[in-house]
Amino acid sequence: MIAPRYTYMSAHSKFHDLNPISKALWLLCVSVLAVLVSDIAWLSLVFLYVFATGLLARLGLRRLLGAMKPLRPLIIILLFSPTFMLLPGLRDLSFDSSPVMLLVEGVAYGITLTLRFSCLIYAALVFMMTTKLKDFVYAMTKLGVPYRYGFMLITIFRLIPSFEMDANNVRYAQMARGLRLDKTGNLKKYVNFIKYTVKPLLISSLRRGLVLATSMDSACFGAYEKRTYLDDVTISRTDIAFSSILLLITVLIIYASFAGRLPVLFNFSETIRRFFFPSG
Amino acid sequence: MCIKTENLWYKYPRSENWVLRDINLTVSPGEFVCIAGPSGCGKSTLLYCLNGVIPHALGGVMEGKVTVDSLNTKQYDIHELSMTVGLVQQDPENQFRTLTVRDEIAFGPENLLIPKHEIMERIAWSLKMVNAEHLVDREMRELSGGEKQRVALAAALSMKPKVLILDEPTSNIDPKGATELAWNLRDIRSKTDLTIIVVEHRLDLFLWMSERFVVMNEGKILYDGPPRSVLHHGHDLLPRIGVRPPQIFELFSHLCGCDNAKCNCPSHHPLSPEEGVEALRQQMPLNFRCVCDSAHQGRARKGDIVVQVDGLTYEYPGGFRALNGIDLKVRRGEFVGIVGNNGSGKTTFLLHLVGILKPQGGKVVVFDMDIRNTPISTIARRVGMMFQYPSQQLFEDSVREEILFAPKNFGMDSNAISERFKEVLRVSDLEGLEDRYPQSLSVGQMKRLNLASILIYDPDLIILDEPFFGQDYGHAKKVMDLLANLNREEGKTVLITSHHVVELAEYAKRLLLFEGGRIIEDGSTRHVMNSMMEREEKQFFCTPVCRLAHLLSGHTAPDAPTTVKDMLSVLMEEKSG
Repeated sequence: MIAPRYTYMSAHSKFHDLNPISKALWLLCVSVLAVLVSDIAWLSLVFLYVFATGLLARLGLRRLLGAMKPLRPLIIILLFSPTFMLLPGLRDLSFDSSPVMLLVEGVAYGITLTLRFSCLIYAALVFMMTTKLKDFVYAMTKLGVPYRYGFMLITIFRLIPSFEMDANNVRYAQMARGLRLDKTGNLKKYVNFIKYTVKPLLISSLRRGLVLATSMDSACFGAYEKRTYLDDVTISRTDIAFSSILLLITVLIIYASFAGRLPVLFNFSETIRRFFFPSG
Repeated sequence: MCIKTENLWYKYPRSENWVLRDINLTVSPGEFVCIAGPSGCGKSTLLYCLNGVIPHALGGVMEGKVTVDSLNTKQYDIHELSMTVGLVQQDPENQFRTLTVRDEIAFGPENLLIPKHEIMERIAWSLKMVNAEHLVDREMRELSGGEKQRVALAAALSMKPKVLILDEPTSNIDPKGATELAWNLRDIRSKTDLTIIVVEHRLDLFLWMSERFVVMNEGKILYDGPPRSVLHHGHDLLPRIGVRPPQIFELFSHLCGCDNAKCNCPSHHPLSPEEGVEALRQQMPLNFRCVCDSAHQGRARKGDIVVQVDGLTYEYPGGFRALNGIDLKVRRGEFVGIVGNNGSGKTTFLLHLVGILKPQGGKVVVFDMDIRNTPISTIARRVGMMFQYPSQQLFEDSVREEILFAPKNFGMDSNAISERFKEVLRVSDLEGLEDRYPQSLSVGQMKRLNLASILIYDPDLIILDEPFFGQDYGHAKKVMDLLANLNREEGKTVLITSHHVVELAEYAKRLLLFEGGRIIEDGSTRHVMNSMMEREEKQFFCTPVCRLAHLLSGHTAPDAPTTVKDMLSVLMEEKSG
């Protein structure tokens, strides 16, 4: 059996020991900062903070870098596509229409997008690899979320590997009967390919869903408003301290950002401009 | 009475056909009942009527009355009934609700608001009942198919039901897992007063421990009584409707002559190898030697090499090493069976033969094509592969289009295949269904359609991955007879993986045993099965007849028969000689 790349990794760390709600709050704060801040230097700081948290949580450098491997094509697209989109003739920028500056601005924008994306992905990754889904669901129910909704999340995660397996089976069966994925060619063939994939996948997913629903019904799921939880998820003093400091810092940065008081640590475009056009 | 169905009729929503027709079944507390019948006869539907899934979850039209432990299933909802009836379904993969063994077993009691300390006790007790205490801290994804079914059984037990129902629990697990599950049920039965109902095709596993045997066909109960009596009275009809008696019973029926004429024997035929030894010693006091049949000794193979594999290795992303140095030669016209536990590398190996997976180490040459450098479609034109799950390989909107799917992809001339189309429909028993929607067919019909979709382009090598999955004996036999005929008449090379060793012994001339990504046994089917008898942990891969022969000879039969036919000839030889 193949171990999924993005599931919980057991390790002894302070971050692992935090309440799932504290970790969810961390994820939220980091995500807000990554979306809000657009300065490359500040984004780099957020990214380094997230990555360092992953290392301190003992997830391992190799595992953290490896987890990003399947997303490399997307990162390359993010990094380079703005560079070309901002070339003269494709987009008009008012501040400077010289081709060099347009290119530089495109590169800067590409780096910003890549850093932002990496922050979001790594934050989610650190959260998922340090938090048992079950604990997160239990913690949410403690906050008043009905457990039926919480378990929907567990079910979705539980079915992802099965869905992946089904998709592989369908793909293999298509290949074995001569359907050449590399030669889809025209639109009709592309539509057919979607049809040939979606239909069997949908039917097998429905079948899986039916079996799972029967299984849950047979175990009295949803019979009562409450249920027993074998494991306790507690909120410790560390959780309170961690969450308070985190919230304080996030609110301060948000305030500074909206008030225009967030210092610019490094202006990429301006530095390049001065390098190429010292007189301007 | 623990269970009582009275004049039970049922049809699914938006269906005109009654799936259950006037079912009257009474089961006493503590009884062990085995239910069999062809695919689609209503066995699973009957089970769903017992635990309230019908009518509460699936809807449909239900007439008559079902009472379980004095509860009328129409008046009590599934939750209330689930405290009385525990369910284990056939697919070990889909029925799990959580991610770890401990959570899975605790899931039901947690929903019932059972106190924590009692849930802990129930986890320990139910795991002990299925001999799986060591699995308590494991994640579900780490378990084998057999282990998953044992955990499913433990999860059902943790609800402390009075009735346990199991719907084809061994259909998707390897022989070792299936046998261990059967032993678990035997132990549970001896230690508790649970009523157990098992729906199963593999009667070798469960019938010997059953008190009742119920045979269903077309929604009705055909036979209901003690297993030996039902098998005796139905010996003529059962195989025709797709129910295969245990192999040992078949052997004794032949020995007794039950199959030839109206037999007046007391129908005490044994059901397991252990029972068979005693019976045989009483009936035929002989000095069993299992004369070595040279015809079955590793005969030199002839013909061109069609598959040559050297040092094949493959590792999945994530580090699971599925193949660990496979060397193999298969010649034209061979019929090769492949056995091995779940996860031993069988399917990964077969995917290399069509070029779907490319070797990471070593070399695979199929029909002189190095699969590393040959497009899949070129290989697939000569190698037809049928996968395990029938519905996942049906893409078109009609049977006709489905069969023509591959020829269209291969760019074959439609006139050239029109004649073959009729022939393929005929041999696949799909005539008259040309315009049916493939996904609406029965599992057996889907499997035959999968095969027809391969046969249409006349590949030289036919590969089947678990062809018996979800099929009754009748349907499986049709597929195997068809393949045997193609192998014999047209010299097609056939490779089959299966957990059904009785059928493999009858059809495959050569057998490979996979373990840990390696082939650890390779030879004639009879020779390999006898080799496996020498190792206790591999005996699950041997047929009951082979085990009987070894028990008779005190494990000194190096080339014991594996099929009823061979065993009969050996016994006759012993008797006359």
